[in-house]
Amino acid sequence: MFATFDPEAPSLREYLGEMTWYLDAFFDRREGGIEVIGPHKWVTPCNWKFPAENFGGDLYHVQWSHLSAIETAFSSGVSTKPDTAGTMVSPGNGHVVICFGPNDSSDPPVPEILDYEQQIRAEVERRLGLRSALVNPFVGTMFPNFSMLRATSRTLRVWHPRGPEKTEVWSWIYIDKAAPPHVKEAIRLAGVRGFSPAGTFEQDDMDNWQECTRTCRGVVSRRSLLNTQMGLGHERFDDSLQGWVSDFRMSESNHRQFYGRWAQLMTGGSWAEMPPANSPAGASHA
Amino acid sequence: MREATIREVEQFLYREARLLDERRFHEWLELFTDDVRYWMAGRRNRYPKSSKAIATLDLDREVEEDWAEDVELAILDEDKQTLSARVARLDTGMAWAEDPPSRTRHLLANIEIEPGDAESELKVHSNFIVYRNRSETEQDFYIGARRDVLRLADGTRKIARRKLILDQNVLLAKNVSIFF
Repeated sequence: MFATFDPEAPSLREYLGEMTWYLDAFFDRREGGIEVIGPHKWVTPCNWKFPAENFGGDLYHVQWSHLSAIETAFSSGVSTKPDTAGTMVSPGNGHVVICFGPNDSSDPPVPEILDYEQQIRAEVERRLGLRSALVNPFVGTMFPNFSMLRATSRTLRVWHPRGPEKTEVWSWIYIDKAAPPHVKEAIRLAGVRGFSPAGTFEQDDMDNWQECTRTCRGVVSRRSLLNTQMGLGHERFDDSLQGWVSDFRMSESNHRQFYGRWAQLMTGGSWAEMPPANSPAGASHA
Repeated sequence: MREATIREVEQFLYREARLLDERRFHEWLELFTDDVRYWMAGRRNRYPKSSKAIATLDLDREVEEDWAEDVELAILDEDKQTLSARVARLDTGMAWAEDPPSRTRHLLANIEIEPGDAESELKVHSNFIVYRNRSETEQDFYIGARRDVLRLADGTRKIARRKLILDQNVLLAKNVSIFF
């Protein structure tokens, strides 16, 4: 699934580092892993970093951008509730994941999906190990442009840069291979209805990303630096989660890690000169 | 097919198109049966069965129809309840992809009517061009075919099934926030 033309690049395992556990929390929750359907392909007039950042750190857009879909029952909208636990996690190399607490999830109110998640919960926790008792990863970006989501819909996608202000999205719905057929069908429909070009969540995201891109082109906005200070100073390296972790669920700590790593790669030389995994990429640019 | 039936179906479809362009979505919803399946697929590249291209060694590609099967990934796959929820979402005042709303123009052509599987049903083929203009200079064309099943119940014509086939592989619009 992953390949590189760069002979100097680190191995995939090394590149992923601690992100491997977080990927497993999406794609290897049950024996047999996942199967995919799709892809949806569409072109959206935005810079590729906006969707990558959105999936990796933007939890605060949900309550405003997506309240219409939550209120009309396309999702349970857990992230809008004040008592929801959660944290930003950056396991290094610019990878960024948003986690709920272990008892929070944000599935659509579809009985087939909710029952299924209840039934497999113990099995998944055994498989993923102790860390799954601490956090429930539900959305994230594997640096730089591969994102995944397990709330509302189950989707993985690649944001292909197609030139200035043009991003081609390739998006698949993924489903546990071991899930029974009626659950697979419910997840297929939740994916089409939530996160797709016509998705009740995603159609509004495209509009956001387009407007963000356009706004950044303005004469006055180009004189300003992008502000990603939310939660600055409220982040730490967490040994049990093996990543940089925010104290609060609403934070731009992942933005700092994502763009910090991007800045390192854009200004750095060879791979050998890159700071090691798990160094606080954002700190030097804060 | 009786001339009167043809005219009646055409007028039904034109009126439906006008309801969409005038954003009268609640009235539009009433045109569907409670058991409707409203479905839209894009098209993808497949080699014809007669192709000598090396890619045809992949048996999966040897399919004449190049749109998704019913159980595959579609752009829209809705029932009456989710279609109604989509309309309710537009009413929240927070459905940003349609705020400001798209200006749409639904043009229908090539209307062809066949007997349906049941006495009360008709199969209706048509082609559509939907122009969407929004904000200042945004514009999209959605062009494709409809395969409808219309059903007569208690003297009222309703849409019992709508299959929309959009003639694009990579969707060239940023989103699909309108109805067809």
